[in-house]
Amino acid sequence: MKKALVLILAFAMLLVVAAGCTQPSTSAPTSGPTAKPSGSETTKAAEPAKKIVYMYPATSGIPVELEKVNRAISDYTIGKINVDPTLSPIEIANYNTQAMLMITGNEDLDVMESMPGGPAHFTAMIANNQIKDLTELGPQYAPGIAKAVDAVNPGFMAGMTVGGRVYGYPALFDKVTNYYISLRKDVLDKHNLDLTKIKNGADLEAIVKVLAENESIPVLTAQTVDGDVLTAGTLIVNYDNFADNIIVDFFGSNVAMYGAVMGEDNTKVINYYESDLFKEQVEMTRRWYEAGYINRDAATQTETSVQIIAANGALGTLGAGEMGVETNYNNRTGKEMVTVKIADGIVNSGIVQKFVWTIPMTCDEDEAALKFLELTYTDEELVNMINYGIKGEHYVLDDQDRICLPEGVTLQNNPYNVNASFLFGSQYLAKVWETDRADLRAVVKELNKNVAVAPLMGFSVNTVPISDEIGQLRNVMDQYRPGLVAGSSDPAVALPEFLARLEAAGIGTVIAEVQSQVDAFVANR
Amino acid sequence: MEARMKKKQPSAELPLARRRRRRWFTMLDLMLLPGLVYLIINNYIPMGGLFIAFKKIDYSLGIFKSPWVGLRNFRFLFSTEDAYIITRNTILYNIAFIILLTAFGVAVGIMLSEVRKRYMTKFFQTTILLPQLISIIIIANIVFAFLSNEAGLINKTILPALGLEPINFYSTPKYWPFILPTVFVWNRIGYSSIIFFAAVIGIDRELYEAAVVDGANKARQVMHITLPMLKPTIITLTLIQVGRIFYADFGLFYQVPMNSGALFDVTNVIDTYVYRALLQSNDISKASAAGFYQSIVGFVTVLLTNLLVRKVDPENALF
Repeated sequence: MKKALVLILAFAMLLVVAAGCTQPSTSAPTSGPTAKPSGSETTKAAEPAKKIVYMYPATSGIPVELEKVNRAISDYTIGKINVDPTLSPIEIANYNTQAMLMITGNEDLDVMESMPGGPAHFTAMIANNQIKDLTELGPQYAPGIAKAVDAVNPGFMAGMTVGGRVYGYPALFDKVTNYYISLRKDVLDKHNLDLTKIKNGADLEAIVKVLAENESIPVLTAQTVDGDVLTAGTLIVNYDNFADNIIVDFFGSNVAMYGAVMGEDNTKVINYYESDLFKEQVEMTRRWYEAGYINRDAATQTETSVQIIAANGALGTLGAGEMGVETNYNNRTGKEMVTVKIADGIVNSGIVQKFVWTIPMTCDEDEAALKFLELTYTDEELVNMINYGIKGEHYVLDDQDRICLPEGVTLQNNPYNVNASFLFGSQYLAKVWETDRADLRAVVKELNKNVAVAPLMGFSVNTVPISDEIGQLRNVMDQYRPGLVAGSSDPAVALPEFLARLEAAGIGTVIAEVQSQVDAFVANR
Repeated sequence: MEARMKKKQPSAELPLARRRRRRWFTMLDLMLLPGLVYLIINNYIPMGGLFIAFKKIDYSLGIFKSPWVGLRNFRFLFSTEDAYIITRNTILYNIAFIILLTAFGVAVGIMLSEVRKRYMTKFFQTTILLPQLISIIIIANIVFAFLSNEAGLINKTILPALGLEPINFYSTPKYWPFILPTVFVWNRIGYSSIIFFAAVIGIDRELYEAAVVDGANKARQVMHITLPMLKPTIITLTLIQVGRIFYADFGLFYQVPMNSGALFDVTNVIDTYVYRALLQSNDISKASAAGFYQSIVGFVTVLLTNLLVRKVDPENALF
């Protein structure tokens, strides 16, 4: 019997070991292609090319022919600055997680883009000392970047500083962020609906209602993975009149809970979730949820609206976007969309800090990293390769120098479908799509030169004295926020609970601290 | 165990037989090796990192040069009710899992041993083992296919057929204390039942034959022969599981509920808490503090359980 037991035990332990071995793979999110492609084969220079890893979020999946394009880019940049970059796109839904794992694990990572929210947000990474101070490094190795940014709007670099030190460079895209509603054209046409004429929430609701009653696909889904179906981050939709929409300035914080309401006393810090604005917004969302107008799984969605619409999981979305978003939606969803602007945005620190190029602490090739980064702000050929792939293979140009797909290639089967020119260095160097106006970049540049900048532009909250509270508040937010903004939690029950838990976690202390920092900023200006 | 077995050997044994026996133990020792290497790499070396729990990490200084902060990270853990919720969830779920898995494992193991046709036994074994081989991400999506609001089988087909209102499972905590154990048992029953099956077929057939002669039916045979003979196996397996009572199955609690915030009260366990602290709040010091707490309490649990078993049934204590 004992012998049998020994055997059983040995077997059980082997099983435990086997089970243990498989465990980590379940917790590790899909890793991006971190293996370095053999781009350096062609190097014949005396000094070996410096290898760097260039990481950015992938908004429409990882392109099939990434490695091929990467090789072409390597050949180009090795010849130019003797740097061999590895493009490392990470699915945007996993980006925060992956970036933090890589920095914590001290992996090969030299240039990375920050995220609009989460731990990989620009200010969060500064607070954690995860990215390098570029005040001296930048001008030393890559003076061209700041020059390119200032050429668009000299106000933008103010948003890149904390305590007088520069930590990154904004991806140069249209900073004039507006808010849009986007719905599939075929279903609108089928029911004879005109989205372009809507003036307020009631108009929109009438359209959404018809679609909800006649179509089997849910009408609206959240734009990002935060669950915001109608809240769109900083926007408060004014139901009676879209023209009176309200924007909350969260001071570039990735913790959207303290902010100032634009248009009112914009130096008074409020608890956003306690405001009537938020309450009305989630009540409206709840009503739409119960009426069946929105994707009931929005609170737990793990893909962006573009991917969900492409997969027939929803008919449209409401959210932030820049000029040209109309074509962008069409291209990325692979469906013809009608996109209508419903509110104007404002340029604040938050928008400038949406996607920022930074040098993480893991970088050991400062010079090569910054030189490559500089090229993405100054070299047209490189920018177009990153955005559109290889000429003649992944794209061709029409007579007005616009991007078209080659014969036989569609948006769905394009092996290098990136379509996110706002992400890489300067978008002003990227060519436009054949569906865009040929002078789009010039028009956008003009808009950005003259755009209104928020009163507190350049102010960022120093979260060090309140980091314990913020940690706990974030846990509370993770628990309640997605359900509320996606309509799946009943605000009558969940909202008071949410507020009480925020109170217990110390939101009062945080608001008071932020207020004192704002006051000091205003006094010193 | 080795020593005890050796003691049983008669002293006047042939040298050849002894040599053979030694080789047998070397084989056993070799089998131990992969497990040992795994344990050292995966469980012992990382213990060095426990000191991170007492530091405030500054990435520019590096882990070793970051300042010490004493017990500050632990205070963070215990200053909210999170510590209570995650401890409660971890322990209660694991107790439920141990009981369910043992009960179902024994039942299925005995049933398998009663299947007379060999190919049918193989068929059943493979079928119930299959879920264990599926990635937890796929399992989460299989569950989602049942429970989702927009496309779920239950909400779209079953409930409407019964004339009932759809249920939003991913924002209603009360269903999850039943959903999670169900998924867990379905997922794990394969291994568990095979171990008990192996133990059952190891029982001497003569005992059953004697029982049949005495007129015992199947139920009495199970009650009076199978279960008592399985006792040592049950105790050993339970002990192994109780030792891990503070370690939750991460994938089950994180992936299967789709990381839905509204369910945290019933799905947040120590492991998911540590993961969120690390990756969403990005604070490895606090995550380490929670991990440290988990290790200490887990260690104490193992010692206590073993002590208890030694009191009740010294033969089956692990040490």
